[in-house]
Amino acid sequence: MEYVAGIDVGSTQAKGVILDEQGALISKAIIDMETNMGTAAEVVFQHVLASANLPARAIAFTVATGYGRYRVTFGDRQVTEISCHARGALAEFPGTRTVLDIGGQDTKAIRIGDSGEVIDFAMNDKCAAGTGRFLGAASFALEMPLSELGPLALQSTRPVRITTTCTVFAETEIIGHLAKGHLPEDVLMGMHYSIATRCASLVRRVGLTPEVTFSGGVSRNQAMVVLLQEVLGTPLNHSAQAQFMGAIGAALYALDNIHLGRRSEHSLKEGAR
Amino acid sequence: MSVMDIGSNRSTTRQQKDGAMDARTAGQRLINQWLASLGTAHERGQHVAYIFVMGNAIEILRAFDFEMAFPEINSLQSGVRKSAPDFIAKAEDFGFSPDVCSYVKADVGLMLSNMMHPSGIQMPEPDLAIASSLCNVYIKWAEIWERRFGTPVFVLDIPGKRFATWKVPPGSPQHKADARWVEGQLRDLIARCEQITGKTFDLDRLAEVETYVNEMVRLWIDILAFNQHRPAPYNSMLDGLTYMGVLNAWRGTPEGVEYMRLLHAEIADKVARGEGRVANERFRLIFSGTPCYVNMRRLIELFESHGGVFPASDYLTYAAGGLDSAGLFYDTSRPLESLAEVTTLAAQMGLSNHFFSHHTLAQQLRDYSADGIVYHGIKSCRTVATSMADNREYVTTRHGMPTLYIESDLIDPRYWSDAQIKNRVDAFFELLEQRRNLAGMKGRE
Amino acid sequence: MVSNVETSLMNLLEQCYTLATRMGIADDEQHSAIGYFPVYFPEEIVHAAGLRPHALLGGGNRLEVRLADARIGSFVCSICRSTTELGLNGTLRGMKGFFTQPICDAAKHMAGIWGRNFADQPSQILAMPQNVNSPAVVRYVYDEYQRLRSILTEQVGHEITDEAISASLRIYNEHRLLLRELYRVKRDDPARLSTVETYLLMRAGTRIRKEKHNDLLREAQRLLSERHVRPRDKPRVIFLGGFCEQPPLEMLETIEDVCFIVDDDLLIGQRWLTEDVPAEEGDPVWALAESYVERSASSPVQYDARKPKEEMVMHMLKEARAEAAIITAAKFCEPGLDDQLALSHKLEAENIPYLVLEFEEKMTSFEQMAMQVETFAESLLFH
Repeated sequence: MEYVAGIDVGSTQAKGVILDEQGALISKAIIDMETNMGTAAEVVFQHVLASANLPARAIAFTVATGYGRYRVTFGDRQVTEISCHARGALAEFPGTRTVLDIGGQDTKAIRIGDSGEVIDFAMNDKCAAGTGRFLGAASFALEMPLSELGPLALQSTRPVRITTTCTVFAETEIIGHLAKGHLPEDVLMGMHYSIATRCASLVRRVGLTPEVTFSGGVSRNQAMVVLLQEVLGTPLNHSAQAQFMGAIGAALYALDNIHLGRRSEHSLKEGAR
Repeated sequence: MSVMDIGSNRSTTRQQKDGAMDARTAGQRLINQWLASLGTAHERGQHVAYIFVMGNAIEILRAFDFEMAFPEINSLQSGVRKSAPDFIAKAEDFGFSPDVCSYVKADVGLMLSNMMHPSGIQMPEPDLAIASSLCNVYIKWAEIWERRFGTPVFVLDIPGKRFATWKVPPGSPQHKADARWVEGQLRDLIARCEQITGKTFDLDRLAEVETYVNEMVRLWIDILAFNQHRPAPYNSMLDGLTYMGVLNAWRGTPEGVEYMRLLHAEIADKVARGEGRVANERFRLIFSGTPCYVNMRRLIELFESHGGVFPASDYLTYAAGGLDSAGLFYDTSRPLESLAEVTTLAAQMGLSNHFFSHHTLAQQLRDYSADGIVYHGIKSCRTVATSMADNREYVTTRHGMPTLYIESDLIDPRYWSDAQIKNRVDAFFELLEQRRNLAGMKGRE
Repeated sequence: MVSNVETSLMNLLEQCYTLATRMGIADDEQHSAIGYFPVYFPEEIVHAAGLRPHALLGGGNRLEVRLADARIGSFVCSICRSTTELGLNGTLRGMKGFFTQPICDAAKHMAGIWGRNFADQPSQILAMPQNVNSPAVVRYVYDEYQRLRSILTEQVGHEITDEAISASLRIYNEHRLLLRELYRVKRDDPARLSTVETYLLMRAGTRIRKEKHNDLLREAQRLLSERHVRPRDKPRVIFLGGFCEQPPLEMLETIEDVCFIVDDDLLIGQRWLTEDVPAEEGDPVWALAESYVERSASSPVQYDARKPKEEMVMHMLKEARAEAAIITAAKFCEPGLDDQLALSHKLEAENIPYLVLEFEEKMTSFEQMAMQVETFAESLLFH
């Protein structure tokens, strides 16, 4: 049995997965980023190996992705997270033709073809509004952990319109609305709505084609899922594996390499989750 | 260092068979000569005109023996030579908004630095400025000189394309009406120049200058077409930029003609030998937008490292004064009328294309056998970038053509994010490869 | 107790507000309204064709921009974005044509955007000249106006006669006179007529035919003359920056809380021609073209060697007997931002108090601005 690894070195977290030669998910690991991307990659690699109870030499091919992909010294190949998210999303939801990935620092919309090939993509990586960072500002202003923001927002009955497009001023605007007596859930829903519309704009730029898969850390926020479905007018696929989609896609590219250029049509086996 | 140094290092100075200079060296010399001459213009009693690359009546100015300064070239050089951040900071301290065109700010910075340019030349103050209407920022820029130096400003209004499918056959009533207006302004300009220089306008001299321009245009059109060959002999967004510097600064001169002939012969030779700009040309791409002068080489490297080359770009049309776009040459038997007619056509067929560029891009995709388009949006340039996203959407949907959108600035390094741009470029090449593989697989079925 | 006059005025202004904030084309005007992007447009020619010129003034601060962000860069003024949105979301369905002008580079792009997205609404650039100082210019503007005339002729399917154009000129002359009169009242008796009221009265005219608007303005004039006025004492200021993208009403209200705006460039396109256009004899199109060149206002988007911005602001201050200036610019508006700086320097040199503000048509919170304006007004009391 051969194994492959996918390592995703992002700006806030590093993730690793190991698949076997049939594409079954063997193990996964995630750590918070350290200052040194190369070290973080090695650490997450060690974790995922330990989790799989495999030695490093058992891994036949490793593909690195994410912003830190060139710092992964043990990587055999580098593939951008755009291509990897596309592959990962298709593997999890075979009907995927559009991917929306909202991360901590950047957001991407990707349109893919039937074989998971990227047809077009658009990114918002210059401005934090429309990324998870915008919610970070809310978390700070309301003194609530990120994980509680979604559920609270869903209690809103009269969302407040947020007009600032700058994360830096978002806090000020939130505090201003709260001072005027608006309910936290209404302000929060407004923030979510703001992100949803910006992200929807990115999706439209590449051309919304069903099915749409929502990935990235923010996809675990129920309010975002609900809102995006409303704004885009289409149901969204989302999974608990959202954070690993890039690493899984990278591992699938690794699988290509050991299967002599044939595209792998594997989807993840149920039991391995 | 000169504007030539933003070009390729790949071809080292080579002597041609008969021992004559190669185009690169010749071009470098010409640029240095021009700048040196500009720096001492007032000492020699020559008048200095500040002009822009898109629409400048340079032919008339040559007839009055003006020395030409191109503030756009000054600003791009400050980007290449890394003085832009300092100049821009000075301009912003002075009060200019961050959102204003970075070329303008670099020029204001130059003014606030006693006109001392990083090339080592002390730029002379202008005796006349010509701002065409083809970029509205030119006009606001010229107002700054008006304010600071008391410079006489001549706004040359050149009516452009009114809509995407605007067709103006030369000699048609519409063309005549627009050309009449341009001619009226040119006559007005001539009167102004006579006032400023004390010289009388010499129509024969204008005709002479136009003869040189005609030859340069003929050669330039060929040079642009050479890149339709595979592999493309030069990269329009790197080598092309150095050609353009000379083309603009020496337009209408025998030296300019000589340079173009040399360049033409060299490139023709490369085509004959099948020598490409990139050793392993894998993808041919059209570039829409401006360069990022502060990282020009790096930007191109990101593409060439994947075997990507830019055989064509819309930049080479408009920043070369639309020399290729009229398809007409000056009729030197009626130099003034012809100047107006051709200037109008150049504006309508080439220089106002950014607003409707989806047509030209489609044509270029075909002519240059391109695999995709790269759009380079500029944060501080609304002329180039306002509707790029809409344009891209249209082209992608209509033609099913892969496109990439990246963003930075002409010369402001704060807008360049290497990791982000590399990420997008890498992803684009993955997309192109996947597409090619799929097409290949389908072909085999 | 509120008097009858005041009640009638309030009703009139309510009507004006409804009209002013209407973005789309009314049902009974489908396919008879021609949209035009700022600043000035020779409306008389459109009027003479039996069509209504519909000034495109952006989406204000209630519009949800959802579709336009994917088409237009983020570093572009809001009015370009919101106008595109109004097209994409169907609000401008029923417009018979779209014109823009070379006021700036972003505006020129609107023609391309419109052409690519709304093929059923012919769109073009009306190539107004940025050089109005060369002698040949009137002929050129005349030719461009005649081109407009022939486009409209084709659209309506009948000739647009010189007589029709002259008749329209007369109506518009009346209109200009009424607006000048309104501005005179605002300047000489600002307690009687506020800038917000003037603005609503003026902007309503961009949504109805000018004859109707003239009637409305005459009615307003009558009511204003009978209005009971409470004398107030506030600093007299001029407001510049409203020549294209429009500041939100709340912004004007915020300023008027503490100042009298005794002159401004709001909707200057409606007041571009400063005197009557000769309508009695000669070629009416020539008269209109000549008026554009010879008897017109000024703005950051029209170069004119006879009207340096610094001189124009000093002139305005003097004519309006204003003691200070509020110099605003729309975010990302390059011509506005450039002039804002030049004017600041001039006012600084002349020791005239001024306040510099940036705005966006889509602003909804004004606390920060109120603070700045109040502080400014207070400082004027001690100047």
